[in-house]
Amino acid sequence: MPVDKGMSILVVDDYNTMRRIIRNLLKQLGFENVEEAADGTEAFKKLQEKPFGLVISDWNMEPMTGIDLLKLVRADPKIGNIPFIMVTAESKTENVIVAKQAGVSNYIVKPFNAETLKGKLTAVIGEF
Amino acid sequence: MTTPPQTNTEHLHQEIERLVKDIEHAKQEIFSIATDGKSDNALGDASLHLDEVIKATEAATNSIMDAADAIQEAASGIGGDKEAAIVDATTRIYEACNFQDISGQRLNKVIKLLAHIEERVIALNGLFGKPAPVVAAKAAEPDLLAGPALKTTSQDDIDALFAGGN
Repeated sequence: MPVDKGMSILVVDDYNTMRRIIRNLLKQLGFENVEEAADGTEAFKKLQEKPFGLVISDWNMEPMTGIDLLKLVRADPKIGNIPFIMVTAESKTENVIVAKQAGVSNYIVKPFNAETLKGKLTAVIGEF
Repeated sequence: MTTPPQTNTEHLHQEIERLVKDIEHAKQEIFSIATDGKSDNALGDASLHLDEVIKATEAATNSIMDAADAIQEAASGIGGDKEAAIVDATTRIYEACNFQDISGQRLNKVIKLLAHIEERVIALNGLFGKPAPVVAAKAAEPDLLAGPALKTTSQDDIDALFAGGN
């Protein structure tokens, strides 16, 4: 089944500029329906309010981190299956393992480029 | 008369005191230029300065992306290879803007590490029953690499001073 490029994507990052970068790169890839949240708490609230096809989240945020958001999402039967990509500067192996064990769909290390983002999106949601 | 040989403990204490002074000097060198080097709270000023650096890079990054957006909008409809080349170039601009987030996170880690090392060294020094050595505040020096100035004196304030003569 072809990927619906009109699906809602939630970008979560405490840096406004990083949210904008990801939004712009997604736009270049044809995904224009993008919403933003500045931390895990705001993101989880938005995820409860409407359906999203994908979450792209930073790790280091306050008060709720990306990994805590991931665990909360996976524990929620209503939204537990949402594809979840972690985009973070946390490149230590133990962090990647923690995220994997928590059920992350894929992991992008900052800094990244459009090609990397496209590759990870394809791996998670399919060819587009 | 010869000086009695130092015990290992005395030598250790001297080294720790030297470390405390080195850390204090490093903080002043790195962070206090824009605060005239006069502060009771060097670490607080360092954090403030760091925040200003992050804010300045964020503002610059947003300006760069605004320009990239404008270029892309102006190019839309051109079509063909030219439009594709412009889209490719603006994509690379967005990609390059990653630096802002990375630099902010790295700077935060550096200051947290510095604070942690300082805390441990001062605690070690305290084991010898002596207060941390006081390092004289260094006078501010002009430095083009000092980063954005804190809100101590704005450009308008400086211009007003020059306009006022003497």
